[in-house]
Amino acid sequence: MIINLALGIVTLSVLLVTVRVLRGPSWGDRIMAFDFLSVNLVVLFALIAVKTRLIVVLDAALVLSLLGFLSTVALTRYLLLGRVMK
Amino acid sequence: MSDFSPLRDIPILIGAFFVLTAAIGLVRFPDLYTRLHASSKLVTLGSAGIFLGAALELTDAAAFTRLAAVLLFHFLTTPLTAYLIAQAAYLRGLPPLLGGGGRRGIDEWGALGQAEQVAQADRDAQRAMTAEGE
Repeated sequence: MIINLALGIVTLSVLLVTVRVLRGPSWGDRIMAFDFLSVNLVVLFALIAVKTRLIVVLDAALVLSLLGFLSTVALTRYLLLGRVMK
Repeated sequence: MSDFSPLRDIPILIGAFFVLTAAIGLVRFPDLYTRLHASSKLVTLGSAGIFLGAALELTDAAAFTRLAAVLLFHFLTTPLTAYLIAQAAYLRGLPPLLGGGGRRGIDEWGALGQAEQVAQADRDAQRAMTAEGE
């Protein structure tokens, strides 16, 4: 089945990105790889929703994409300005 | 493939291919800025393909609105996060690589490593805003 193949491919890419999170020479690399990891997990959730035909999983994907964006913005702000808010 | 449906499977396969390509680029590229190039551009196309395939497969109004919301959010935020990460790394003083020999590039804009000045200007602006509000 094509869905299983796509799930395997996206899982492989999640593993590759985890390598970059662990190895990344600078903090910018780690933040970028973390952001990419959250996007990858959203894609993985969409594929799981197709496979299991559960629409609830798409809600989890929506929340995860919002949280990934907000955490990336907070981490870059902390890296640049030394504070997140105020 | 007994249950191959082209309308669903071709976008999903294209999307999975581009997501894997972005991950390989993220591991293999030599520099933060080139890695940002790989991840932010390719993953937008890849996730668009996978969400399109999922929406065509599920054929449900609830699933379609959720997938459209996630896709629109990705299209809005992926360039924004790439810009923020590159700005933070540049102002923190990470010079981009040029050429193949590990040669560091010249600083074309003259603001490399000036994060302290930017943070000071940000604090000043914050203080001015609070003083104006009082």
